[in-house]
Amino acid sequence: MRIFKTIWSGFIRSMKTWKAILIIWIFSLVIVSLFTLLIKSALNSGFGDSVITEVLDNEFNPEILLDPGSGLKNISSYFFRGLIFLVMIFVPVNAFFTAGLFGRLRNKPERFCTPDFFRDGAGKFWPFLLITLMVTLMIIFLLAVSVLISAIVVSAMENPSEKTGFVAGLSIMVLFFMFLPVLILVADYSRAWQASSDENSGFKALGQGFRNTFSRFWSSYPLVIIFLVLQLLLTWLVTSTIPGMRPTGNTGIFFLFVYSQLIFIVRAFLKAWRYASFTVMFEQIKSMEQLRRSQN
Amino acid sequence: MKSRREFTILKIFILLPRNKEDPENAYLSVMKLLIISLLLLAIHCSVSLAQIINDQPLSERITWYSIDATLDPDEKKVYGSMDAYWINNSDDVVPDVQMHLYMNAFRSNKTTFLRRPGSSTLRWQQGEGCIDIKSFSDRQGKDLLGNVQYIRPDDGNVYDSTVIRVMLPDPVSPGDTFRVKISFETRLPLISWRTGYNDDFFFVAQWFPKFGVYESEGMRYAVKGAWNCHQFHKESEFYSNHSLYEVSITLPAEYVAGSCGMLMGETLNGEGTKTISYRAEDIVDFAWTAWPGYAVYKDTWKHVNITLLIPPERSNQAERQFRAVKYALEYFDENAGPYPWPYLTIADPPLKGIGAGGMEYTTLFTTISSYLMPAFILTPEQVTVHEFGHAYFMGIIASNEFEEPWLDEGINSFWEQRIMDHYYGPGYGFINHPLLKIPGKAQSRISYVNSPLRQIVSNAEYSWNYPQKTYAMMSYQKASVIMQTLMGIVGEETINEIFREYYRLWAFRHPSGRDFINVVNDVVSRIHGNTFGTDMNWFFDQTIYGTGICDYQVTGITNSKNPHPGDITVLPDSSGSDVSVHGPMYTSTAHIHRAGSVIMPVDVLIHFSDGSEITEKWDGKDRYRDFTYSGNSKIERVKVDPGLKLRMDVNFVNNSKAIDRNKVPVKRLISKLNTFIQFYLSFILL
Repeated sequence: MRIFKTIWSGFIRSMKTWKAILIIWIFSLVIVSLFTLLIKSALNSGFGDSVITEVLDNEFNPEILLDPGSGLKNISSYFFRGLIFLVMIFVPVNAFFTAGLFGRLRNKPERFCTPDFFRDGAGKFWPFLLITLMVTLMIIFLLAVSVLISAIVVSAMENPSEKTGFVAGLSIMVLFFMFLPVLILVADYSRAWQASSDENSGFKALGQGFRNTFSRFWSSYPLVIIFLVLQLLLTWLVTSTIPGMRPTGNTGIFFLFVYSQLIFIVRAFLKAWRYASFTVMFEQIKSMEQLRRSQN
Repeated sequence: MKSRREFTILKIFILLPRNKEDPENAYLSVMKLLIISLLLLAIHCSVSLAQIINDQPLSERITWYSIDATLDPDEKKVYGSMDAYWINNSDDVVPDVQMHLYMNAFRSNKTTFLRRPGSSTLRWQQGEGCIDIKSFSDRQGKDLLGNVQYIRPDDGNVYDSTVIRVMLPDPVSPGDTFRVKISFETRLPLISWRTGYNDDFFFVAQWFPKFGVYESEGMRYAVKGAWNCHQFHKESEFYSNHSLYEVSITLPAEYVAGSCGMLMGETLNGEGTKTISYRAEDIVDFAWTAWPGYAVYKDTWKHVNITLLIPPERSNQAERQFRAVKYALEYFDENAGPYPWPYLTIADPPLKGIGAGGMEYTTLFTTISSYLMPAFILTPEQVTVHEFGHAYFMGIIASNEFEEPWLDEGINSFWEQRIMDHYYGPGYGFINHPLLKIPGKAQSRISYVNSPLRQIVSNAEYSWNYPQKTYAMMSYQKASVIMQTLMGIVGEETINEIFREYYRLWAFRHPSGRDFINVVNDVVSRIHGNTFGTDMNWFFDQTIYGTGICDYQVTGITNSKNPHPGDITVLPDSSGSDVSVHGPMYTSTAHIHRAGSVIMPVDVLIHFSDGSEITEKWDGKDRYRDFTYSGNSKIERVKVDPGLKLRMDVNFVNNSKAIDRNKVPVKRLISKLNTFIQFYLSFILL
């Protein structure tokens, strides 16, 4: 029951930060569009006045996109390099916005104040960046260890069949995906602590993140699972609907754009909701500790 | 064409002693020999020549092999005792026989096979993979082992011992039979290239001494009779006569085995072994596999009993394999000719035997699948359809894979892609997923047109002579794209008719590339007359035997507005009266360019602003061509080869032009891309 109360309070708080969600959405759209517009120019230049684009009416056609002499072949390498570049831009920017968002999700302001959002983002930028990088490194490490353990287990078997190899690998990957939410919890509690603290220390925040995660583990873990499931459902919705959409006119393209961006806004909102719920949870832990301290 | 029975009778009389000095003794000897021969003939006919599998022989069967083999799974050896014959069906007196000892390709790392660049990646170990001839005698028991000499007809490599030549004490006369008894010991290599073992898995191919093909004058490219017996090359396959095989294999009782042959019987020997007897008629090779872990599944298609040997954990893949092979059987049956054998075995090797996967032995082939292969990735079906297709292109129509690999691999890849695109998708016979769809036929074209070496050499090369690792690209992909282009020109039904005729004329024989082209010429002229010229040699000379590229492009569209479009022109009509007409509003021209050296007839589609369309036929010979029109509407779009039938064209993008291109598809792609990148970034950032 307490979980649902927390979720509801998180929902209310996240709704109050709708302006921040819109800012995050606009920024994401602008930066990604800058990149995809370059791809679009490259595609238009590669296709020239050709009507071969009619073939793209039906599907992404590698046979056409890979034709030599068309100038389209280089787009794929440009695309993947560009994607890495985008990640490099988005990591610090995400730290900035997340810091601002966590700052506004605290149970202080009744009205969202945009300058405060940016001030919080700037003020807590470095510890938030450190938390993001450290937790990302932990996830990569966990993944590497999981793959390594899978390989060791399979190679230790005498003549492993494909099925046993698969089952061994799958079991370890299931363990990975069970442990992954724990790291997300650590990240969220670390950021909630950092947002409420006057002290700027990413490492200390991480320590607090671990502490809070395990102090309220059995109520926190189901909460994060609920949000991850919701996000996965949204991802499923995107991958099952958008690829099949084939508008043939500019109006249709506009509606495709609106639909896909609405889904992205929902996605950004879900993230804010998760942050808000864990901020609520963190505040509950904090008040309980204060109560306990005052009782002592 | 002499039947095999006639040859056997001929051989008896030819081998009779000719004692001119003592006619009485000679007469007695003749009688004795005649009686013995007749007895032998009767036994032989009742055992070897009995039509056990098919009612009539499908081929000349000028070779026959009876092999007793024993597998020693611990020593990784096959001990064999072979009785075989070769009938000289030429008009030549042949002084020798030549045989392949393929397994010697693994005898050292200096063999022609293993010193080929790229072979260092094979898991070869010293002392593994060889065949030793222990005895070699003729029908009279005369020891010919001393006459065995290694020859290297392809490269003179002294370390290569994959071909032997045996000088015969008595040359083989026309119609005569050379019969030989050989005992041999084959040590299998660690499996990495079609044959060998891994742990308790065995795939035993190229394992016994095998006759080369004696080509008499006029057969394929032979200007005089000679053995065609090439060394074993890494980038090459095989060439053999259609033969009769009677093979008994003794192996541990717990092993599950499959082979090219039809199961004749299985007996338990005690001491934990069993002997399995197989018979195969009219096939070009005999291979077998044994592994205790195989699960056996069976299914039927019309008269064909299909057996699938598969690791038990892949049982979920069995249905996919059966469906694929039945599709292939059906398609070949309808569009080429019948599959004549009543059985077919598919082996899907376990992971440890993956090196044997994807290989063909006519009535047995190996495929590659995986426990977890998603349904939208059609690679297992593709391999199955491809390897089955070799039952036709190499098995039934036994071209020389050493010398003209395009005839089997290229044509077979073309058929594989047709079948996959016909049954799967439809139209997406490689990957069929909502997010990514790739036709089977696109694979070859992507590989061919994107290869920087696509013009390095023509397809008129022996398989091992393709330079710089271009064997696969040239033999499989380019040749397949050539066949797709031919189909684009003459049409699908004509292509089917070509292959029906090719099957009818060349089934169970050895055609050359020229023989195939002659069939194409005959069928195309029968169906289309002189539409494409007196023959299709122009096509093959440029494609198979040429190195040029094909690239037709639309270089521009010009629409000139006439300065005085409303002017009245007065023309006399047929009655001599004057008729007034308005002058045309526009003079429009479509500019077409042949950028490649390959010349093909091509359609040009002109689309006008009033919605009308004109399709022009162009022989494609000139370097450029302008199509000019006068009228009240402008040219809006031009497409050269609008159906993209000339799949050899290396650039489809420049095949068309529009005054105002439809930009919606790119916008749509970009819009979707935008969303996916936003989602992806949001997902990976905590």
